[in-house]
Amino acid sequence: MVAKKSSARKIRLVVQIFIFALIALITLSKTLEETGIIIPFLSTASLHALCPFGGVVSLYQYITTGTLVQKVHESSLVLMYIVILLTLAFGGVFCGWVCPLGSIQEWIGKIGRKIFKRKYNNFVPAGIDKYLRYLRYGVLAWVIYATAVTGKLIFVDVDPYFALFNFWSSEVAVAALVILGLTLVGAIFVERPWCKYFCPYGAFLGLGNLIRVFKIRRNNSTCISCKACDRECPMNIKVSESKVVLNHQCITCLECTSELACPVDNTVNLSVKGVKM
Amino acid sequence: MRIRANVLGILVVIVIFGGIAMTSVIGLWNTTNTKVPAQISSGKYAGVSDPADIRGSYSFTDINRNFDVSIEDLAAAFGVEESIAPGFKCKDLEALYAGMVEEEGIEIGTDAVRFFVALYIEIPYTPAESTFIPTSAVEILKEKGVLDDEQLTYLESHSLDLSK
Repeated sequence: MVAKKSSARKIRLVVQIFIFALIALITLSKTLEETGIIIPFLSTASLHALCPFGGVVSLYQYITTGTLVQKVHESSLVLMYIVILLTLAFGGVFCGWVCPLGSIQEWIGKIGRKIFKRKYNNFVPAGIDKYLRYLRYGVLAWVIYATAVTGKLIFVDVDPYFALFNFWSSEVAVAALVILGLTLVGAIFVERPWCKYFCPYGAFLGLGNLIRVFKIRRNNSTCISCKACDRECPMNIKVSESKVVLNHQCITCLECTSELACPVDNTVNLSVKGVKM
Repeated sequence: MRIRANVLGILVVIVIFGGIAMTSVIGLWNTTNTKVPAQISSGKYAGVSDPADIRGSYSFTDINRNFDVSIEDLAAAFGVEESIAPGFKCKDLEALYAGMVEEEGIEIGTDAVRFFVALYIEIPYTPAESTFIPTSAVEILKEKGVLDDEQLTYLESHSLDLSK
């Protein structure tokens, strides 16, 4: 049983490391290309070309003028559609499995978990926290509005994801570096602070949790109410209090499921109702 | 129907990279700009390539192709050696002038090229307040006779002599 849990956790880590390394290598490849050095078999795409959020912020301009916002390319639109497809099927799986900024926060969070034990990820009072969770929708509205009005990729000046992979570059605004620094330091105290409170793309994808096909479901009849699922959830969702998790913050990391935290077989699962295989 | 972690992991990778592979085959996966600017959609200049859509990645050759501004004029306007002018990218202007433009709040970069091209082909364009163009660019515009009094007055306070 322990071995099974370990392999279930490893598969997500492997996907996260693979994506993180791939994006880092492509960014390096792009930088080296500008100095005349070519890394064989590796794309030299810009980070903007590989960000699905570029597609989201470009939508208004794309619909009204048929063009994309500066620095955004067709590949961003393709990725946007791919991620929407994944989200409609599995909810915020992009955040939990793919996004490199989410991954690095999670890895830094392991230090915080070691230092603070059970206090980790519980520093923000619940009464304030529940309102702060909607802040990211304000950020999303601002980014979409500002991008539509200016036709420029306004968000890049405060984007910690861009700063993470280009921190050495003069293209990165100081504000983005400061936000990245605060995010990484914050991750020692709070799991995925950027994702929880500020990420506009997470806000957009979070809406998919309300309508996704495969949902996190808890079997009330076998649940022993140990609340292990609640304790393991990086997004502090009270899985034990609902039969179906519809929370907009769920990142489909599966940490709460019977494959990982839940000690009872087949009690918390990512599943679709009524379909048997 | 239950989805296990290993299946979900495999599905995520297959959907993302399968999607990229499929769109690559049908030509939708483009990670670089097509170097074709948007056209002005309405008004007197409808259908004309919009200088406002010039990107930092545009070379002087791209600008010549899209806006019919000669590479020689672009090179002379922005003080770029003619030998490297065809492949010179707009975004490289900032690096070129980094040590020369010392006053804070002054930028000679991609927006300066947009401004110059707009004036050159006589299309209205409002540059950022911090955008300046070199006096060599103003001279070329004067020679072409495309500037009105209002534009000349504006350029008196938004041009820099970089030859000194």
